[in-house]
Amino acid sequence: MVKKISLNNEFGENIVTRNSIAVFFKEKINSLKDDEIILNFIDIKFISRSCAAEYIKLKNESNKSIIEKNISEEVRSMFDLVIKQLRGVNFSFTKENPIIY
Amino acid sequence: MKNIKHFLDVINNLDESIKAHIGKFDMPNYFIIHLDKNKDINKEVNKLLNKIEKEIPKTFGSSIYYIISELTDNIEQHSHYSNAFILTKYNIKEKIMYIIIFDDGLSIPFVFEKNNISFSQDSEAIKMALEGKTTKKEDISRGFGLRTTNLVVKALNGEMKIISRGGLLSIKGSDINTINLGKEKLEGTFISIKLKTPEKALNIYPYLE
Repeated sequence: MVKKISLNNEFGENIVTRNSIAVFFKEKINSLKDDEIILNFIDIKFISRSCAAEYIKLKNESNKSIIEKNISEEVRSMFDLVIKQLRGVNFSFTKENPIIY
Repeated sequence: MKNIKHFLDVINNLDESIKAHIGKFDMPNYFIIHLDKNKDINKEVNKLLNKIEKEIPKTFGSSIYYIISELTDNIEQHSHYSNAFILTKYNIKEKIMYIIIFDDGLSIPFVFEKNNISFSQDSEAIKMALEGKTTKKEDISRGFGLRTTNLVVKALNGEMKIISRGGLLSIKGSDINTINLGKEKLEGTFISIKLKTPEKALNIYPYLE
């Protein structure tokens, strides 16, 4: 089964703190029975650098297949920056695509 | 109003020498949010960012969002605070954005001591945090917050002042001035930032790579 989640409903327009992402993965994503999850980024204007880093780290550790949809240019720029920073410190990505645009 | 009164009560209770470094506030013009353990920080900061979006020129791009989110995350991750305040004000006449962040938590020097990171003076601990020293060294995605905030402040030709326990760092461009406060200490961390409005739209990302 595929589960679809609107991030705007979970966080509002801006995803700000690392803890909010950690709680979201623990209480929502990883406790779902569904193996495939589609995260809808529509109406997400901004994700902080720390949240983007936490998101990538927790997605990397999760057993679920997580697919992102409707990522804005702004949010994409932040993910690209964080992926570059993590590669710079030799972060080991277990998934081929940290974020699917 | 309740948040403003609460903030002023906290500031007024500080030692006189600390207050002199912090300076005075033109309070009615600031928008303020108060954070404590019972509040949803993401929700509170969203309120602030939505308010800011309506008031500041678009040329700031996502720079203000970046600064506020990184500094808020630092408070949540490290400070074990009881009360924290975020204040913002855009002065249309001066074309200057003011951001103030204060928490009554552990302070940067204390968090470093707790994690066996050695330094000679409190101002040195703040400088180390500014250079990317992190207590969460087991997580290689950490240590970017204050350092990259400083890069964004520089990109906006801004100024930043950080007071934490007995140290003060004042940053303008590449100039960093340090002061050690002596006997009187701040319980927590106070950061004030002053940013010039960019004439052209600012893309922060090339500055952060």
